[in-house]
Amino acid sequence: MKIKNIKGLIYKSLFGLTIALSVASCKLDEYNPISLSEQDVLSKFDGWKAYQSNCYTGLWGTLISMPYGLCSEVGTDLWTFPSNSTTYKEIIGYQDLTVSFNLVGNVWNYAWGSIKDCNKTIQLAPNLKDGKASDIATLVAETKLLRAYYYSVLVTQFGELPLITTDDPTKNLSPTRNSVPEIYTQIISDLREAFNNLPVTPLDNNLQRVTKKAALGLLARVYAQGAGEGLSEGGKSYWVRAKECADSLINNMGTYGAALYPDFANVFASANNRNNQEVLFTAYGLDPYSPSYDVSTANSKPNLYLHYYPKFDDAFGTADVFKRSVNSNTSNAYYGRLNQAFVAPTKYLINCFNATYDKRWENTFQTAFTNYSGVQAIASNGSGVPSPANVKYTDATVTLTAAMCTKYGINPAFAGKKIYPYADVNAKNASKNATWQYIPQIWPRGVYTGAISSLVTVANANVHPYPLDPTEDRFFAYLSKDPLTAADKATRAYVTVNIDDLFDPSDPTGSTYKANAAGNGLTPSSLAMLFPAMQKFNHNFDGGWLGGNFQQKLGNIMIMRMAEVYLIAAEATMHTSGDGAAAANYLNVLRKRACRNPGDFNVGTGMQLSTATMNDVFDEYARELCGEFTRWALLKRNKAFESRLQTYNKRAAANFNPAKNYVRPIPFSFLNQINNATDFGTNGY
Amino acid sequence: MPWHYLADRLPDCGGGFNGTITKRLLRAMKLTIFFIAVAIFSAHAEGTAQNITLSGKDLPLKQVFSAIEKQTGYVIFNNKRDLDETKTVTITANDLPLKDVLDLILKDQPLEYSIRGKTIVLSRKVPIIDPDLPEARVPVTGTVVDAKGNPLENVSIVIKGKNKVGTTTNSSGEFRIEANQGDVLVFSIIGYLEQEVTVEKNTSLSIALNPIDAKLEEVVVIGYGTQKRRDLTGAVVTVKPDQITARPGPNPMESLQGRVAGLDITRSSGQPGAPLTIQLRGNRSFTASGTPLFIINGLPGDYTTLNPYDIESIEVLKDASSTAVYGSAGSNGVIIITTKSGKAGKLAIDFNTYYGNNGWSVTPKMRTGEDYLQTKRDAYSYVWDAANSQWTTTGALWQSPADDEKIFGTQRYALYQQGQFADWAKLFLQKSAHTQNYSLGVSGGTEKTKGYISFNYTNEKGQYVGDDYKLFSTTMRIDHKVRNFVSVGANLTASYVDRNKAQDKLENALVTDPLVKPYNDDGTLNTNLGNNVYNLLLNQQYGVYGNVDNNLKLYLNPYIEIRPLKGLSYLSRLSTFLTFNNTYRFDGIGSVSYTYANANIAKAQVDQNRAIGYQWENIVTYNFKVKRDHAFTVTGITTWYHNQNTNTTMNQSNIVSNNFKWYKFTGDANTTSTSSYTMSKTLGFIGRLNYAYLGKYLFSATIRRDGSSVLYRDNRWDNFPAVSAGWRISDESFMEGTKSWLNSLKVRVGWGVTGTAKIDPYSSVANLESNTMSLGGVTVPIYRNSQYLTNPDLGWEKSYNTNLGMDASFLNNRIDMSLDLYNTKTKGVIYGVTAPIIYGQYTSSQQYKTNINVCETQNRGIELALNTRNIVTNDFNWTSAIAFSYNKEKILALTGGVANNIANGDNNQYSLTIGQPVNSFRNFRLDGIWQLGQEKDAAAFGKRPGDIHVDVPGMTRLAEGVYSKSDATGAINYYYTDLAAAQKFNGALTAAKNTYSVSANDYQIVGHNNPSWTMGFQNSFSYRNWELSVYSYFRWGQTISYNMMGWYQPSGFATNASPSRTIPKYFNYWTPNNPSNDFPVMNYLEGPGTLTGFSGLNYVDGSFFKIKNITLGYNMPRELIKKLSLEKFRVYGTITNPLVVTKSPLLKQYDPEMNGSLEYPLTKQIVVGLNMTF
Repeated sequence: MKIKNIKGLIYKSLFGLTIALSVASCKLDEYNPISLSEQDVLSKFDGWKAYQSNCYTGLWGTLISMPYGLCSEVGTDLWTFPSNSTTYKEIIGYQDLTVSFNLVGNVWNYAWGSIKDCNKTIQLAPNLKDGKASDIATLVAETKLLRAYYYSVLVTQFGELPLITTDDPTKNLSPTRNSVPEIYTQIISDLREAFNNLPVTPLDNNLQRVTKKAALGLLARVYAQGAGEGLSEGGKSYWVRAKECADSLINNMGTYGAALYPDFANVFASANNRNNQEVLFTAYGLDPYSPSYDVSTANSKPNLYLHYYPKFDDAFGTADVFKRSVNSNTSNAYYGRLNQAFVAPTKYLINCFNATYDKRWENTFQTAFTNYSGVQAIASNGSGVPSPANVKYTDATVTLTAAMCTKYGINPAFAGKKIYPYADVNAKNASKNATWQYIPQIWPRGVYTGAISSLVTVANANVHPYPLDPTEDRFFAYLSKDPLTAADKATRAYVTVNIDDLFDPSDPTGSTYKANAAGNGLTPSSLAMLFPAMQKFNHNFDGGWLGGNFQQKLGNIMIMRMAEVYLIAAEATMHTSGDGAAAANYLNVLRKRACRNPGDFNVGTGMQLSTATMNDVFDEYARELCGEFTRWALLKRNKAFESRLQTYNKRAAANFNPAKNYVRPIPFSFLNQINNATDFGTNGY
Repeated sequence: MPWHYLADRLPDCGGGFNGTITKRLLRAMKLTIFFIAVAIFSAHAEGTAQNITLSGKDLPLKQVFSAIEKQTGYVIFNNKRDLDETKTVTITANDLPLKDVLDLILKDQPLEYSIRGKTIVLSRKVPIIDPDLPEARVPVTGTVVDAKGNPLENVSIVIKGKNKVGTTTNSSGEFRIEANQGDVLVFSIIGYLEQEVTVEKNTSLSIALNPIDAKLEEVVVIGYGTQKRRDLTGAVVTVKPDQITARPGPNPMESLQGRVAGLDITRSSGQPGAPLTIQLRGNRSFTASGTPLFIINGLPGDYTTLNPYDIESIEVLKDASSTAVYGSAGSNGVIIITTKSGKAGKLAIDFNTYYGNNGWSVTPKMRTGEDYLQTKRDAYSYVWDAANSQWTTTGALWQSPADDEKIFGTQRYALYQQGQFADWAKLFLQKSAHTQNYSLGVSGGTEKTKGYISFNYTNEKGQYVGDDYKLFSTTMRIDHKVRNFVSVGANLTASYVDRNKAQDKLENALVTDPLVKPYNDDGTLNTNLGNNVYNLLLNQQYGVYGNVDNNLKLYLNPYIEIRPLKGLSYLSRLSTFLTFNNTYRFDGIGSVSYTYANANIAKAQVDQNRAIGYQWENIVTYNFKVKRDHAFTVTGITTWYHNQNTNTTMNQSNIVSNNFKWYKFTGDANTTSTSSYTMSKTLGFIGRLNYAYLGKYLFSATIRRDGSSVLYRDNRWDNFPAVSAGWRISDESFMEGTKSWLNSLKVRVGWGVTGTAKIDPYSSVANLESNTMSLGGVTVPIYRNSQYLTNPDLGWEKSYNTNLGMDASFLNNRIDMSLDLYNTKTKGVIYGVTAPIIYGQYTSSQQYKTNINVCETQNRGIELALNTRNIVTNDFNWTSAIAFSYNKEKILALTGGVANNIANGDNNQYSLTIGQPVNSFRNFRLDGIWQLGQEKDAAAFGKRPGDIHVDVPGMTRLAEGVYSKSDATGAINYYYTDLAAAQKFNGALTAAKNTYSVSANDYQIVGHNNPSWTMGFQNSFSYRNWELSVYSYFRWGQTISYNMMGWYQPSGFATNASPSRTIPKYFNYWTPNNPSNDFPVMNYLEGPGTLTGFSGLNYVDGSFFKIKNITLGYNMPRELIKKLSLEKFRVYGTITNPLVVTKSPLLKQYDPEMNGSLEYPLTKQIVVGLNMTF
């Protein structure tokens, strides 16, 4: 080996080593082409506005869907378990309600979820480098309203909470709670600022963005709720404040762009879903025809409606009068997939309605059940028709047989008589993931052609004629509010059940439905599975379905509407002056538009009130707003659980413990993430 | 210290050094940082005399030279072995000149000397061929074989005392040498006892060499180098090629299950190409993957597509002293795979193939027919009468068989009467799933250039129609000596996987309503099986479905190695990889997804992942000896790694024809695409010193400094040190007496630090994500914070491992044992702490997180590997191997606060609980079922007989129906329904009743998913040409969450259940007439939502024993092989998974290795194969 060679080699190898060693540590920096730095983006208006938009995410999902939908309504005098069911006994019956109950956890998570984004948006606003001052003010005001709304849900359900209004980089893992008055003060302050700075028409004309009327409406609601906590402000009780805000909105409706439909039927009319005049604060649904459908940031699409419907399969089977299953995800394009019958109305709620005059009954509850055809869908899609809509008119038509008559106790004379479909659905394929829309039209009575030309469009395809005519031949079953005699039933060629007969007579409060058991007095016993179906969230219009999933609907959901303001005004009147006549004046506005015939609005029918009691206020809330996220808060602020559950809902009263059930348990998952769970407490659970 | 001084003092560095301690060497060494170590150990010689005074009788030469060194200050260079062969000398020298003394003592020795400067170099005398006696030399021929009679190649044969005369055997074990009668031939080869044979008249020899303790001499691959096993100080296990190929299959790691103590390997899915779960010595990390680091030919690579027949050896580095050289990536252990390389000499062709069948899965037998009817009746036969606290038949919907129609519903009753029960397992799983493999390896080369090339093709079919795994792979390796001191080479591994994946929903199907027709009356497929229940047969229709993986992987590793001086080598190697993992999915018209999930919309998706990266390493190694008994190896390494991943996903919906599959994306509103990118870099500097004194005192020290881009910039660098030592006790003179039964004994002790920082890129800096949302029905842009909130203090997660080991062999190496004890504490475990929801929600289902180093875990364990040769005779051999490991894992600390029991894992299925293993299950602990007679006790919990009896921690039963429990504040609460009974314990009670509501607060640890111990046990028998091996495996102490248990949903038997369900036949449920403790009451009103404690049903003891495989092989007799000019010809048959025995009676017809899942059951496999070498 020659010296020279070795030298050369060593030098070469050392050269390599030197290169390796000289790879400096600064080269270990990350290259990140997929995200942006906060500083660059959020100091500019456009970026900040985009950050602000995300604050709305919390509205769409749990807070308008089943978890909060049930937590805000059940466990009250309005709702109970359907036959044989014990699902959600935790909140429907206050049984086994613990820190691990998932629906309460969902509400907690989602109400909190956007507060941090609100805080940060508000915090960053003063440092923006560009942007129109008025736009910034509007967006800050929107954000404050949202923050106030999220906190109002939290404080109502959970009581004392950590009040977090800034986005601090250091996250304290030992959070402490603020008092209820402190939280209300913050909410009121946010809402007042929102009211002052919000426009009457929404920014960018975007119907999701909140406006002045929302701030004022929420102020009335929050004052009322805070009043229940005994709060006052500037020497005035919150009840006074609530009435002031309600009156201000009622008296200046036009100024604030608020309105009340003259006819209750308009409130839930399909055509009025997207741009509802009566709504003060909406959760704007997804538009399946828009590409925006696919960029939803919500946790889930609302499935609230189906929890209030019975499972028809269980009552009828699918072999005779009822043609297409509702238990299946791919079957019934009119009702959807009704596999979650969790909530049924109490006898009290049913009895609140004087259905003879009050059209809110059939606009709130479906009691006549039908089959549907897909004539339009077949016509427009040919062989490509999706199977749920692939229903010929004749396939939707039932011919009563003697066996059916026997099974359901129908007059055997009607054997051979036909029951036709009431609705007919079209099938339109919306964008990408939204898939099919099933838009219904109605077959007029007496027209049996099955021809598309005879179809008519109605305001709300879920509303059936009331009362159901004995000769009606488009519905196979009917739950009669007015008790029908055997003789009357014998005139009807469809299954009839008196609603009263669905209730277990051993429970005088009317909170127990009969079990589906042999000898329950119903023919057949499985009809015990039926109950009036609350339909407010069942949006059947073009753009209202999530076609691939029959459990979800895409319509807008009203977080607050004008009618509630009248109710708050009446309630606050009772709490302040106690002037029954004045309160009645507020309620009469709602009662009047609910009359089936204008002439029915008089004292004689009972539709007009001359003076109101607090019970009238409770009843009116029930008739007008049942299901609409208010009842639990109403009973809470009036400390009415004990008395009203005792009277109207024995099953809930049996386990209701006033010492702890006025607030919900703090979720286990949260307690498990903080370091001071014991000090923070579970709210007594 | 002056360099030239050292130069003069440098001792012998082994033979072949020419003896000149040159300035050249010095210059080279001057430039290395390792020199100091040399200096420390170099002796300082005394004296300068040139004359020697010495006398003695029969002095060993060694002793004489010592004296000479002492007296003269000269240094003597020699080869140790040369001195061993010398005779003793008798000398009387009084002040004799050095040269004379040397002449005298070397007179009759095979050595000569030369003096250069102050160094005496001893070397072997060049043999003098005596020209006078040529006729005396005769050719001696013969063959050398091993104990089994197989020919041994490359056996060195020399004539004793004439070292330069010698030859080696050829590949048939034959040799030819010229020798004189009376000469002694010495046969030697590594791994065998040297044998001497005196040449007699018979010049045809047949020699059989006996193996010595081959294990000790074998070369073990360690991190960035190799070592002889005898010199190892760490816990390293080597797996041999025959073990790797023992179980026929494409994934080489699968055969290692149970073979390496401490390495837990499981496979939970029977799908071809399904990944394995590999875990070494327990879980240390919470979020980081526990998979060991795989090093293939020195660099990170992909083992899953590596041809098992290409593997020369697999080394598993278990303790930190072995893995600390891998620093931040070494925590989970390192598995080093070395592929075969070419050998100089004859071309060798290796051909292996097998063919067989996968299938015969055992799945739970479900209730159909009469069993189904009975369950349905049970579900409707009883009604709970709350007023009287009893189950009654009064009012029940089923009273007599006349009510059957009522409980079935008209349509289903008609089906029942027709006996329309579907056996979904039978319908979905095919039996004829073939598997085949062909592997061809060719190697050969010259002294200068060696090459190896192999091709492999595997085609494994799954049990679902259309499910298969095709693997094409090749390995090419070339090593070339450019000069004596320069080698270059490259290794190329390429693989292409074409994998079709079926939609596997077997579990779902099994529990599906059996009372349906898979086919309609008109022969079309029935799509209406109930909700979320898929008729998978839909996907078997032609052209409706595709889910294909096309993965191309290329690894190219070129290297250059320079050995400028004896003992010094510099290796620079680059590992580049390029992988394209593409998945194409098509759910066409008529497919399962089209029909059920996608609402009659045909969809396609193309998912393309490209990863590119390289690792560049420079390794300098220097071996040298100081004073001939001090052996050093010093290693210096730099390693730089950079990888980049790009992902593109494209979606197409509303595809109008199945013809288009994923080939015609329209680029309109029905098409969407997204892309993403991640990268990471690491840089490490490593220094290592290995030192051995007299070959029996061993020491090793390593330090690695590592940096990674994923950590916050101020905190990127850290150090990972390790030290270890070994003592070969059996080499000590005081152990002479034990030689008869103890062949070797070594103890090892090691300590080291390793790390992991497998956190996601970009998670240590705060960023904004750009997105869009639907606001008021229109798309608006949004920004939101990225999920991980910055933690500037985040550093490496570090494992501190101590390992004590002992290796011993006994009784003429009949028993070979290796025992390791370890303790690993992992500090600063990285945990993505969830920011409580009050600090915001990242997306609808995820909260913000921050990675922090606050947790601590501990793993302690014992590993024992035992190899025994039980019977060794000429014809019959029986050997056994046991690999046992026991690991105890514990979380020592969590987030630093009081938070405990934090949900963790992919689906939050595990709980992080202090004092428990990482993957622990925390749920309701069940105390069976409330029985008749326990009405009052059950009522205190609001329960009835037939309900699940949850064991509530802290609950005391005071009397029948009266319980007490203290709450968080210490107050005692009483639970009862009978006030009078409770007042006996507390007179102050007034409430009429107070029942206890069981909640998540009552969760307890119900088990852990990692086994307590595992043991592999292999027995191999050979009789003449036959061989039989039976390999069994125990995995014990793990709890599994068996999903099937959770399908016990009585409400699934309701008339209009949504959907209807069935349960396994062996599920023994409670009815008033059957007081089972396994499952709660069968009543159609009960389901997961109403049966408190239901989620606790899932947890079952998953301990099992299985016979993993049995192989019967036959080797063609050597004579026949020779005739066919083959080297080897073996045929074999293997049966895999023939027997599974579970501990829990709740696991029937189920292989718990699936870990609770049942979507794709594990198969049994029968193959026949052929191994052939030309």
